[in-house]
Amino acid sequence: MADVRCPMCGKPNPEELELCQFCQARIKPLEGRSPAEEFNSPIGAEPPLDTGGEQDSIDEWLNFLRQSEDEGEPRPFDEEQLADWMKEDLDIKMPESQEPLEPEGTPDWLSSLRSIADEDAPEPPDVEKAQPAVEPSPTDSSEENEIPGWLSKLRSRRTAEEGEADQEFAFQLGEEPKISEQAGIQEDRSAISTESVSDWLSELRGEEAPVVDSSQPPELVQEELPAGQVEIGEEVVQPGVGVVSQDEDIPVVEADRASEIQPQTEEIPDWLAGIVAGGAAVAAAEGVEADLDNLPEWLADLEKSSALDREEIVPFGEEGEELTFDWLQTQVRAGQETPYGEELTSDTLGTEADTRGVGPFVGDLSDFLEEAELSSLEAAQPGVEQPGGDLSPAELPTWLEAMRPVDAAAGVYAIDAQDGQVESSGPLAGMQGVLPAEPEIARLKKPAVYALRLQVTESQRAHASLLDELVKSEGEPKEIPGRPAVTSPYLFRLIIFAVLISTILWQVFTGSRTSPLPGLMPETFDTSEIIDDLPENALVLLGVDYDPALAGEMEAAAASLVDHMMLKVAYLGLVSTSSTGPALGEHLIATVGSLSGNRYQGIEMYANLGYLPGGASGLQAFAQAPRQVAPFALDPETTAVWSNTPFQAAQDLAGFDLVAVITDDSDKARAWIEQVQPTLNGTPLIMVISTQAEPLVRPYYQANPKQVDGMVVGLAGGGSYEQSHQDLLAGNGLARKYWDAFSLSVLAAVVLIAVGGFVNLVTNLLNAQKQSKADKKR
Amino acid sequence: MSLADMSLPDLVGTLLGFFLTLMVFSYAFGDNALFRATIHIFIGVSAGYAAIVAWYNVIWPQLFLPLVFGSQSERLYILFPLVLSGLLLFKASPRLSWVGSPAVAYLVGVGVAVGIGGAILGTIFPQTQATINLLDTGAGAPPDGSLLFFIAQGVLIILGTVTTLIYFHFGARNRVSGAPRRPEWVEFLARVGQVFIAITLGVIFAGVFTASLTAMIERVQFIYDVFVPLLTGQ
Repeated sequence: MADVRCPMCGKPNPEELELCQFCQARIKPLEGRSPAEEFNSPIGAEPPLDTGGEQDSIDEWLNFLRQSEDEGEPRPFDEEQLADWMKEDLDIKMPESQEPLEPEGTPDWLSSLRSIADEDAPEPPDVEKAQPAVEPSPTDSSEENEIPGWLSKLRSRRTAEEGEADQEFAFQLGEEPKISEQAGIQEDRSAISTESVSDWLSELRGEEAPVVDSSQPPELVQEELPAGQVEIGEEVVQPGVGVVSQDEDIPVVEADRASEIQPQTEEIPDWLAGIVAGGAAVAAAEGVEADLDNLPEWLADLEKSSALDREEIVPFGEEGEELTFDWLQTQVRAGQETPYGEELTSDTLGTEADTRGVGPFVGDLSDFLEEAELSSLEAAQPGVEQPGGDLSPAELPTWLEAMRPVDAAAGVYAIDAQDGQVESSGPLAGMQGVLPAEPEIARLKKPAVYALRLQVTESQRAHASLLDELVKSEGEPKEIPGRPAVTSPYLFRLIIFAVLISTILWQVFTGSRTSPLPGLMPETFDTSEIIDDLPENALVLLGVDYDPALAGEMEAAAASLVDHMMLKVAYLGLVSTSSTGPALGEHLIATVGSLSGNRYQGIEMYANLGYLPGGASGLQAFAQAPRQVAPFALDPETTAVWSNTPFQAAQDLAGFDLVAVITDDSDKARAWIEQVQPTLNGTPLIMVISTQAEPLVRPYYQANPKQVDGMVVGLAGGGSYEQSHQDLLAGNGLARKYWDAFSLSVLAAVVLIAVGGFVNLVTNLLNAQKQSKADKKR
Repeated sequence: MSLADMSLPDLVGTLLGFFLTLMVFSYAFGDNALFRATIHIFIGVSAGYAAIVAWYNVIWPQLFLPLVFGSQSERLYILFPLVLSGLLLFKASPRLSWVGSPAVAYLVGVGVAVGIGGAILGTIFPQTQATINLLDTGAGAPPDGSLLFFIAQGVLIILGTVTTLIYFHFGARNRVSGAPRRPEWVEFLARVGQVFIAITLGVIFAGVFTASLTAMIERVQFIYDVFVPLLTGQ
């Protein structure tokens, strides 16, 4: 007992079973005509619109195929010679055809075909399923009921448009082969782009040769297609036949092969016949590529341009429907809404471009670009015969339309899977909705347009308004609030000034000299001893290194000392590292002379050597070579003191009998000590310093050995010196003059500091007590 | 000296000083235009006077005079400072200020060398030796024989010096808990040194105060010496 294979699972089942024992799928059809009738139905018969009995017809169809196989009937073509996609189509689509397919699902069908084919490629194809997929060609409406739904709908569409589509599709190409007609297919398929169809078919090229061989014996093919060369002008590849004469619409086949081929051609469904024909045409096209020298110019151009764009040449079928894929032809006709004779306009271009996903930029083309494009398209179709001389250039095929540089100029390659964009190249060619190979960020896109109105919340809006107000307020002038005329620091400063100035004024106006001068201090005593020990006509270098601000203190401290030296008939040489020093030195001499009643003449009793530039470096230089550093006196005659005065006896500072420095700056005092004192070689160094420099200079005086031999410090030191030498300055010493005011103002300052500190302490204690009470209350 | 005995320049100078002193005293009531004007005048006069002094006391006698009237050796000797001085003039131009950099570098180098050499030889070594010798009774003992006072003074100075130096020693060891801290004995001596530093700062403040007070007294006395004769006509 023969087994019947289940069309669903492919497992053998007993013949008497109607349902598969494995998958419960129906094995025997419920009703319908015999598979032989269906198989012998004329090619090109229209499939019925009603697909209710589709499953039954398929089952019967399959059984018929099995029976014919078992009976050893010749198969239309060898299954091994079928293309993979055809095999998989037979394996997969037939069971799926239980559910009616819609024309809109065609891209998915193609995608699934390719995807499943990749998955099942290693598996050997089922011959029993491949045969009925090739054979069916219903001839009447009853037979059409048994055709799968997707085929029926395609056929119905083709039938509806057959009348005019034949005329449109079979436009006169003259000597041109029908290859260009295939481009019209892409217009109809909104889900499949031109590139996708071309690639899809291009992949067939490598697999179509066996298909062609399956329909014809190898020897026949070799005879009619010598060495891959095809006389395009004379022959046209036809489905299921191979090569036919272009001048004849009926395929030209050899007599001995016609009996074998023609039945197959008639029995093969149109769509499969078209596939086979397409395969043959592609094979022929490969032959064309192989020998471009034999092609006319227009075809050579097409070949070149197609190669540049990586688009495959899709073979065009002849006018007869048996020469092309039926299902593709139907869609081609549906896409031939715009005849070639119709003038291309921007609207039509835009419509065509929209189907390819580049619509937004077509509308942006300027007129001259469109005209140039049309002219280029016309030039690319030299062999196309215009339907009328008055008509504008024919519409170009979409594959050539896609070659326009619009895409490159627009720079947009955005692919939207929802638009039905189909992968055009690579292993995923033909698949729809494939994720792009390159990330979105790497592709040029037109920037998205966003609304300028921000989506903000109320709180954000409030903060933004607050920030805006703050920014605006920064630019607005504001009136500076007036400070109070009397503040506590200002009042405190006035109090201090009033106390001190009143004390001083009191002592000055009264002329009181009641406060005793300080006693003889050790440093003052040492200084006095040094001056007392000076020989007559001694050379004394007097450094005047104080600022005018403290001239009052320094003059009061040094006046008696200078007067003491003058009384010793010492010759003074004034020098200063400060630019104001020479003037202050002159003023000091004048003050001393005024107080003592003596008149000390310049250059006769002293020489103002002037200013020593360079600070410590100047002092170092002066200590090393005083004659070169300060050669002239600062007098109107610019006296060369080192040759005309007592200074000519001194070659360096060690030749001086005494070096006395009057300064108010500890740094200057230290510079004199560090730079000059080591070069004195026993010459005493005394200093008259301000009280503010005393803390830093005293260590040099108290050092053992002494670096400073004597000091007079401030007003107290000057008073001490006057006290020890009351005959100096004629008893009108400045120290004595200022001492009472100084003593009283210092006392007032002490009282102020003490009282201020006490008040501050009491205030803080009271505040702390109040704070503690407040904390306790809390 | 009364105003009547003064010469006209001295009288003008005295009166000018009188009013400028009053204008400076106006600062006691706050910053005002009189005080600022006085300050500006003082700065201008000081700068002008310094320029004159520099010309008459430095540039002319020590640069141009030897260059014009000096011997050949003096001219060669002057050439080096003349070139450096000329390079310094390029410092006025921001674009060519780099030309004066060698002169500035020379000045800085000499200044640093002089300063460091003087500090080492004139302060550090002598003062260190002096501190060591504070307890040298044979070298510095007073002749009156108050040896105890001498030793006490020396010990106090040494203590103040050492503790002050310890105060400025900030070396500390890391501890597991808390911030790095000096050893306790170092911390104690540093606090002692801090007392000496506070006393020193107080002395310096007192010195500054008394110096300023003396200057103020001198100015008040000057105002009195000028104002009273003006009022009395003497």
